[in-house]
Amino acid sequence: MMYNYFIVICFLLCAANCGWSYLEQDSWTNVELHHGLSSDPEHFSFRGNVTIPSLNSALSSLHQIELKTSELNVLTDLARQNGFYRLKVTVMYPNGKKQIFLTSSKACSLLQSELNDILWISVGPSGFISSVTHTSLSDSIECDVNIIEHIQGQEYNTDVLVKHSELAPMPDTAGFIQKVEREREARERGEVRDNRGFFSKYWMYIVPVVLLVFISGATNQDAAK
Amino acid sequence: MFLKLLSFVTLIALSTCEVVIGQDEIDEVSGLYTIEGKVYPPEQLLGAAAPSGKWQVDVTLSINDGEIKGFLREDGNFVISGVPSGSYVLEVNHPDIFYEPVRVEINPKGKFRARKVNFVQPAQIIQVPYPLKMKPLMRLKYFQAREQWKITDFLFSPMVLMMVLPLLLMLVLPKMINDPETKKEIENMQFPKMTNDMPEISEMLTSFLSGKQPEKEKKPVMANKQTKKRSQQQQ
Amino acid sequence: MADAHFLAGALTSAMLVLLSTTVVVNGLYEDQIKKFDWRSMHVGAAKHIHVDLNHFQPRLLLGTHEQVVASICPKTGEIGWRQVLEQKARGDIKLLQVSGFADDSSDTAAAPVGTHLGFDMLTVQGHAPALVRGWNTNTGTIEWEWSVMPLNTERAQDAHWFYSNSLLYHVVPTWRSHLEVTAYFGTSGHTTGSTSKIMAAWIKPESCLLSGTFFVCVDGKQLISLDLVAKSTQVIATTLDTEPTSKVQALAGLNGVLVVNRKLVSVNKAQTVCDTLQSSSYAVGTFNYRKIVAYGDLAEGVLKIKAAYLDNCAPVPELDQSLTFNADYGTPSLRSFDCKLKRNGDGKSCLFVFSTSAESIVAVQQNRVRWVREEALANVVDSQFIDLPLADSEGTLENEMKGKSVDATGFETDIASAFLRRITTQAIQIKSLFLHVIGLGPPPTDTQRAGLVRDSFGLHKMLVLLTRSGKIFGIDNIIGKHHWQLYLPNVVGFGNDENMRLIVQRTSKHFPLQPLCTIVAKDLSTGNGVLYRFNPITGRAAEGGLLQLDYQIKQLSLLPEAEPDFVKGILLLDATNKVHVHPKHATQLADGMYLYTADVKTSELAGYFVKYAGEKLSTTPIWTVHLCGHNNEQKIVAVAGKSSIEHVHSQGRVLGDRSVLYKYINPNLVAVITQAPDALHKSILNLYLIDVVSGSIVFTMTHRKVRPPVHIVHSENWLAYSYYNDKVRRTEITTIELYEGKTQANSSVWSSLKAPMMPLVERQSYIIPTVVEALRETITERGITNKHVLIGTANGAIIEMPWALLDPRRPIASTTQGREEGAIPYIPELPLPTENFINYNQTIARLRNIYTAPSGLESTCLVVATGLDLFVTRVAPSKTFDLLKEDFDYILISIVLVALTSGSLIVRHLASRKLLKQAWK
Repeated sequence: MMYNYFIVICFLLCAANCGWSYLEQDSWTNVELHHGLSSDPEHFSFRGNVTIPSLNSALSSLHQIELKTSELNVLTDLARQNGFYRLKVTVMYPNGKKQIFLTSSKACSLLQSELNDILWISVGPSGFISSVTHTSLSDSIECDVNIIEHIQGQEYNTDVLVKHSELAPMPDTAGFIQKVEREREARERGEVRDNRGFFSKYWMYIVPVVLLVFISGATNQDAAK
Repeated sequence: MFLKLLSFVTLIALSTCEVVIGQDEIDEVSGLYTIEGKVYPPEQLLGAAAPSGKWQVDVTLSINDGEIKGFLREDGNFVISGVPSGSYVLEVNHPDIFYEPVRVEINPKGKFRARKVNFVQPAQIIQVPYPLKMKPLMRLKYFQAREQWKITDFLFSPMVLMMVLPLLLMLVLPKMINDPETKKEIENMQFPKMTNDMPEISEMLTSFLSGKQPEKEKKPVMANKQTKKRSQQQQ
Repeated sequence: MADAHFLAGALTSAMLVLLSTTVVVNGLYEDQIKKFDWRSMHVGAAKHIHVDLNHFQPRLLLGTHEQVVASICPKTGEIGWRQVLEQKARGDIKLLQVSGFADDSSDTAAAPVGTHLGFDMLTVQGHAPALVRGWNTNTGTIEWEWSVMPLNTERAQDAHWFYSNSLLYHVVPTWRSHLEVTAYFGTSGHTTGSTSKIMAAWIKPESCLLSGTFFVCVDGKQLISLDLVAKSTQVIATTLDTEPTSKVQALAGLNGVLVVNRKLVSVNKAQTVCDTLQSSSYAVGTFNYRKIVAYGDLAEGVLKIKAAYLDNCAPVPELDQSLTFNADYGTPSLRSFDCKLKRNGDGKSCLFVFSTSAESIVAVQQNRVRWVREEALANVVDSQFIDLPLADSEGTLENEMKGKSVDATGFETDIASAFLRRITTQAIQIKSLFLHVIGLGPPPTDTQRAGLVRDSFGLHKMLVLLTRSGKIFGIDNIIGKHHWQLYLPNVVGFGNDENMRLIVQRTSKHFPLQPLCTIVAKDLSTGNGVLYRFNPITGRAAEGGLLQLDYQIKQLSLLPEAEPDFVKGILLLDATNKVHVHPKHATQLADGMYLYTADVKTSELAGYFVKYAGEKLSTTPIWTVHLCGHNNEQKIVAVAGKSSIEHVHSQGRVLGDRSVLYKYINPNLVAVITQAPDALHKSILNLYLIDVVSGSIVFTMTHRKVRPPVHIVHSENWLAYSYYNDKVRRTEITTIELYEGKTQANSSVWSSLKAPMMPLVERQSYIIPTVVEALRETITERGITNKHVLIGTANGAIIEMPWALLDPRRPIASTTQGREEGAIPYIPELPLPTENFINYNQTIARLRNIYTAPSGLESTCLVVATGLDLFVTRVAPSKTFDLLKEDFDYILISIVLVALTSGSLIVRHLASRKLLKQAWK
């Protein structure tokens, strides 16, 4: 009895291990954010830090600094020119490797969403980060100049979401073979019968005959009258 | 003590010496083998459409999508040399004839096994004789047959049936019934039925458009007509 | 055993039943073949040529760079037989030896009667293993074959082979050390003895070659050589006048003679040569029973052929020829020639065979070109279908309408003016037709005289093919005739696994402006970009022709049509991330364009935004994506975007409960597949779906234990790709479909910056029982027709697979569930019925790529399949719903009509007569 339980538990663990989007080697990752507020492509200033203890659990702790008023004005200028708010992301892995990503979104939509933005992190199969994308929560595509003039807050409200890699499907040969075997056995045992019912099989022939009978009966009555 | 020393020395010797593989047979070291077999000619299947050149030129054998190829001799035998050990699908390619592919497995010891190809159940083993004998199975059918015009299609189409059969019935039935009384009854039955149904519908329409008066007038007229006819017949 | 048999039988029967009831079989009819499809067979650029006019059957034997052995009829240039050898290293032809060759040192390969041990031709291919095959050149069948596996494979790559005295010698050099020479009996493969090792410390890589039986190395101003079959291993040193400026080549047919700096040099004391001759190409042969050397040179468009006797170096006047040589054939080099053996011949029967830099094979006889084989078509790199110009009458009509429609702006809404317009167009048409009939209309142009006029369905197009050697062909897609050719010398494809591109800058829709095509390539010497503009209908250069750029091209994109001349500008991104636009007046249209680059070496993608400010274009990098993995182990294997002319007709899919599942149609989505070796799973393939405007990875999927070759089809909202599953040793296809859900985010305009980030992904895998070489989806102008995926197999067949069979929403369990959507129940193996082969028995050797293009009809799609052969046809995925079918029963319907009308008339007459009779009773 205990032995069976043990086997079942082991089997479940193994299944959980090899299925779905579960990273085999998981570790912490540190992400540093620098943003480019002006249209100068080289100038980036520090924005904040994100520490992700485990990519599988997608929990993260954010630490961001507030936007200064001067920076907010520069950002509003950029939004008026319909420029891009660029974000330079430096990812640091525990083995010391660093990788730099670049992502952008329209400065206008960032201001329209009142600095509510999302950071999407795409993770490859072995735990390395393949891309970091920045989007903002605003709904409209158009840039409404009035809204961006009157932005109140200067604090970022950021969600960090992690997208994992999924495992590809295999052609389902086992299920198909089982289905064919089941059908063959059923046919051998004679279970498969057409048991839809007498009427559903033969309604095509019954209905015209009934119609004919009615019509001839009606005309007979008329003629008899 | 001496034994220990001896064992120690042999251990050192074994750990430092190199293993040399015998080099008398080149094939065994590199593991290259030859696959042999025969392809049977497809003349009966090709029939009148056989090309003027030799059929052997049209046939190529390929393993692993043309990675290794084989060609036919004039008598249909083939030899594919320089094949490393492993599992391969051997296909015979002829543009018009279908030959069944075979999976040839050569294990590292040099033993050959040929079995049928099954992609859904790769572990299934249905063995095929080796050296291979590839027989032409059938002519490859590339074309659909054109729908031919058959007289039965025309006669059994619902439109024709609905027109022709009642016509035949109406013309043939009265002639078949020899009893004069039933004949008269049939004749009487048929006409009034038709004249009754159709004017009623037309009368309904006219009544909708112009009021209810003409209805009553028509009915006595019809009754008069019928009585006239009956009186004529009775006479 | 019985179980297995029954299962197999059940499987096939189930598939057959399903096929017959649910899937539409799109077969051809036998009387339709060759009406709208044709195939042209090629052999590839010539590597070894041997002409023999004195055999009982004159023949030209070829071994080509495409690894094909063929026999060509010397009179007509048609292929007699062809054998396609293996690909890559195994099929690389190292030696082609024809028996009976007029060489003093070799014998014919006599063989005992009744055995298969003779040969007409012997080929040696590959290096590890090296395969030696003997062929019967009359029929093309093989006589025997054997293989050799050298012990050291790296050194074997530089090995040479030569044939002398019915022995085949294998020479393996170990640079700066020694040479190993092994002799084999040619036909049986047994060695004659042990390998002889000859000390030669003077051999260096990249400067040594084999000439006959002599191994020769170039050392400064000296040629150091060694006779490998002589008993003494004495090294012979020959001094040259000057250092060789170009590559030293061996002269085939003579033992130990080389061509150095356009002159003949002999290292063989027994063989003297005329050192006064100067030419770029030489060939050795016999004329009137005496040995001669012929040479040919091209100078200012004139090809001059001369010859000299070898024994006394006197010129041979009978063989002097000169002819005009078209520059489009490339630069010729004489490879082989032969004359019919006569005592006092006059040179008229000599055939000279040249191979050119444009990969053509030219045969010259009696001062003219006898035939040409365009073997550049064995390597087609890009193709386009161009609409033909309008017919004469329609052309004048368009002209008139252009003049009138300038001032008519909102006339579509006004019924009266629309009616007036229609009357005027028809009056103009009648007038032009009348003029045309009398003969007063404008004279026909060249293209119209050649029959190059657009037909009413838009099915007759000009197929423009760009080949790897830089040669461009204009081919008629209905009859396969070559209308024109162009040769662009010294161009090569780009690095990063990208070929040259053929771009259509202006289509034929804007009469009277001619269509314009451009080739974008890389210059061979400088590495900078090259643009060549030409008119695809006439084949002549247009808008300036060749344009050499001064920067390297990294990425290109097409801009929308510029106003005055409807030319689509080309936006070029160079290696320093600066952008340029050609032609210059379209520069403003580049404002707001997004570009992306994918680097194969570092597996990185980068996105750029182009801005036009102050008359200048500038780029800003806006995103980067790294797909390389932790240790740079992942390499990009395939990148697939969507076709730019694609049109998606339906926005969603209607489900069984009558709700709509909206498709995720992102025009900026690109699929990238990377491959990485793995310790546990041997090889892993990763699929990334990346939006290249915002740089976000929409979806990632991993395949374990699978390896390339990978082929992708990316269209509408789905993706299908094939790969090889190493674990179970079969090819599989995975399809992915993306949906937004039950509501659409924005039904009017797509913005990648506001797109939904997590679409619903449906995925499924299928087994395909053949090896896939190419995948392409059909495309039509409006996207109403079903999409079929054309699968090109290694056997040379193209299979039309309906999308319904590849649908990932095929229900696995229930058989009735998917019927509302049109989904067939799931079977793991894809059926490949032979009725779906669109190229019936015209197999295409070495199928490499399939191109599709829309035609004027919505139901029809034009297909070109390229590889070693070329096959052009049409497919109609939903059958030709916009045409009357070909076997439309005109006769039957007219008979029925006539019978019914006459029957009704007769019956009316009879009925009135009967009524009259009755009334009189």
